Amino acid sequence: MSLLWDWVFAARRDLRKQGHARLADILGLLPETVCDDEHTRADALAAEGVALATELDLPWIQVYLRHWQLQSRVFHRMEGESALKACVDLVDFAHRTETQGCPQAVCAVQDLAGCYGFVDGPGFAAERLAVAEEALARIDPSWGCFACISGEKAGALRSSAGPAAALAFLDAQTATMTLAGKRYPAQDMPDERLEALIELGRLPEALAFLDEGDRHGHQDAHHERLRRIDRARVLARARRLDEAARSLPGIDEVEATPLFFVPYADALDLLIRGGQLENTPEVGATLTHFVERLRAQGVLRHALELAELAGRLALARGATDDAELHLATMRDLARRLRKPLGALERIAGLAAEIAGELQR
Amino acid sequence: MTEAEVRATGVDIEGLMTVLGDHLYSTPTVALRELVQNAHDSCVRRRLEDPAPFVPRITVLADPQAHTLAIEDTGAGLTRDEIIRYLATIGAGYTRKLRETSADPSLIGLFGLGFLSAFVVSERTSLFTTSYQSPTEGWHYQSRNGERYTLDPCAARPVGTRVVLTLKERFHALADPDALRPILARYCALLPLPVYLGDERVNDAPPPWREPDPHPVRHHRSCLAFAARFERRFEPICTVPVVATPGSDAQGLLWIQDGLTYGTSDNRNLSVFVRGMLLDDDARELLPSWAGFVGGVLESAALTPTASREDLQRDEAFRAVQRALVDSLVKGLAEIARQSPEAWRRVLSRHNEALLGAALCDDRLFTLLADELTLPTSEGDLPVRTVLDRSDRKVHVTLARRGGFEEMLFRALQVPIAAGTRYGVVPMAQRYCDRHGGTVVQLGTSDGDRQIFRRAELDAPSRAFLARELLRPGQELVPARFAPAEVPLVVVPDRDAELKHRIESDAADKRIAAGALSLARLYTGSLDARAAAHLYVNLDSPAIRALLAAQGRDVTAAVKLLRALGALMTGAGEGAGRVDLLTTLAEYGDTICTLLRTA
Repeated sequence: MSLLWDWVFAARRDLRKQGHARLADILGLLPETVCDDEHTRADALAAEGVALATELDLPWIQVYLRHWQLQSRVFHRMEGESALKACVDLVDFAHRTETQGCPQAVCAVQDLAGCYGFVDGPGFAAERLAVAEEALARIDPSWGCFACISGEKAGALRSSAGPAAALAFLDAQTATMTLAGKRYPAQDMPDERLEALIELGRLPEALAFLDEGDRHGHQDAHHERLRRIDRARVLARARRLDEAARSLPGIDEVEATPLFFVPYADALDLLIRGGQLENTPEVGATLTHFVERLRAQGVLRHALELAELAGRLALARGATDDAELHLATMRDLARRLRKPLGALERIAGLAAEIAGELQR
Repeated sequence: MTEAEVRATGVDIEGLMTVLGDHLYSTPTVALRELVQNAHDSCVRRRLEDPAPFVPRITVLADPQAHTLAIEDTGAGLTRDEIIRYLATIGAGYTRKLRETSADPSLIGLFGLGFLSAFVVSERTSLFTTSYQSPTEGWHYQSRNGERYTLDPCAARPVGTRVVLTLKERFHALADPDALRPILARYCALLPLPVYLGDERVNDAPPPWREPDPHPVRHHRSCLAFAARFERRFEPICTVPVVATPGSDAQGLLWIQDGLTYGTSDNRNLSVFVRGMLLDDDARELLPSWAGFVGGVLESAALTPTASREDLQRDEAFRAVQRALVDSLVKGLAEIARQSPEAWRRVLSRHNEALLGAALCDDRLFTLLADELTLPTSEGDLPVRTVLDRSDRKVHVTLARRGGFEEMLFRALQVPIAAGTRYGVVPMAQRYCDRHGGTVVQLGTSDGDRQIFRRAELDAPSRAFLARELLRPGQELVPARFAPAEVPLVVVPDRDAELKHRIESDAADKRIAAGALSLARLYTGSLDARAAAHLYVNLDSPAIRALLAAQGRDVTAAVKLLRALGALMTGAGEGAGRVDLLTTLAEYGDTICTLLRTA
């Protein structure tokens, strides 16, 4: 148990004693619905809970509920620019005199850093790194957010210094958490480790890590689905394409959670290139939907990279017009990035391929 | 270097029995289920192995005076060798062996652990058996705790087995036939073999999906009666069939409960039978999380029990049944709406908010329910379509428990404001507008303000005149047109400006760490917010038109009254836009006095 959850349990018990059973229920239900990727329900619960907490003048509970709604909006639904105002608002609210002691207050900073990470991860890497280091200096592994903020720092490191640096940092944090008595601490910050292992081509380790996750990692619907998608990506890279195709969830399991879009598109691309999936117009429509959703949410760099992937696949199936639309999307997104950092080269690459195709 | 030693792992039978006996099963009644299931499998075995005809029957006998419970069957019985190899060996059930050689789908046992459950509830367990293979021999097994047992020959009995449990004191209640009857009826409800408590058969009515009554009204009634037997807390309003599909073998019945629910109430209950035996009476996770108002009974051979046989493994079969249940519920609700208007009205009235949540989770339900469900509004509970019709294709939503200036404006206009603080209201309104046209206006936000106040042109001298007469420090004049025309002006704090001010002030450096603050300032630096509050002046208002016409004359009294009205319209909101209400009221009173003096 951590400081945070000790407090949440105590708060729920006190609320029940005081006759506020509904708010006590919401405190328990909101994280559950978020972790199960039921985001519409999460929104509905959060609005109601924040209103009740405001009415009862319980600022700590407001911080908790608003953070969990942002957890849904940012870390599951992958909102970027569209969530910035709410994130800044919560950072402000969580650092007032009446909220500063709230164990969830630190997480408001993580929400903001994560949100900028989705707007343009590499572009804001230095700022994200500074924020994560600052937050880690205030806490130790007994805090629930120690793992989340470590994951955030690993993400910033991967954006700036590369996957090996991210992995080395995660190993150090895992060791610290193990010494503090945590079991399977690596599974508390799984995303960045897996991405780093994939980028480094350490596929057997990635698979072993996913196996460990199935046994000892988070067992909620979100993590379970993400592991199936990631397993498909790793297996496809290892040329175990049959197994990869079997592991990949259906699109209906992905739609509600834009955080899955990028890894899911990666898996689709690998399976198409491996001949396991057909490069159909339906695949094109799915990818276009992914790009547009992320663009609308201000997730600039990921949307740009997805547009590039969608453009290449469109070219491969002879849909040059679609490829040109994706190129235009990339140009629009590149203008909005904080720093180009390779975006212009990607645009030039796709433009050249389209030009080559048109000449043929 | 010496060779590694290979040794067998020691087993502490006493400890193991304690662990299995005390912790494998959650409730002592599971022992009854396990022993009835063994009796069932023994009957199936006899049918498979013994060509001679026999009448399968399981009889449970309870003796409250002697505190004994006996489970008797006319199955295959056991030879001496089988008692030693299967009954008295943990984890080695004969059923598993039989399943390897027979494809009979009705065998229930899986782990060879069921007999252990006898020791959970009894201080002495006796078994009398005669095998069809040696019908002239009888064997008597007896044990106190499963660790040691005696095995003696005894007089042959009719082929079959009788297990007698002498109950531990704390489980004496299990020998009460009145307590036993409902438990046995639940466990064995779907078992095709006859099960008796004494002379009374407890499972004589087959479930309605196995033998549907050809008459639709009678079938409907039998479904409701079956549901009422299983639903412990509520009356069922109506039922929904679950039929096997290519992806799922699950069959059964779901029902809608007749109890009021709120948005996230969770009264789901689902009893799952595997091969006719109740396996899990709390398998709610097979139902979608939005179905907090649904109960059900289900049978499936594809679901895999865990070792305790009280829960289900979360495998692909589990997920396939989950999907099948969602489909059944969605189709079933549509069918109720179409065929049973009275039941449908009850469903809607009992579960409006839960269904709001459900509609948001499933597009098909949204299509079915979008015009049926109501939102709580300041003008009563109304369907979204009615709200749109009454509000010029807008749904105004407030996230505040008490309204600001908007509440007064909209009350005057009789335009409903939906309570966005209630479960599911905002997402429902948003999705309805996305599908059917319309705009959700969230009151109390900058976007909401822009929707309410349409900015209007005004010549520079008039603008300067109004600014001079009406503005207070920190306010920005915004000429606008808005309804109702009877309201001349409204002061609205600028939320962006408030946030920008707080984040960019020096005080923020003391309370927010530097890195986080610099990220926050990256955002507020992009905000174009200069004034702390906007004074929206309504150019459609006769009072404002008269004020503009009076430029150059003494307008002091009119201005004081207008400013007071503006302050009252602003209400007691927080932030920099708030005006000093007491000073304003004093001005208001002075003006009345002045007017009376000059009258």
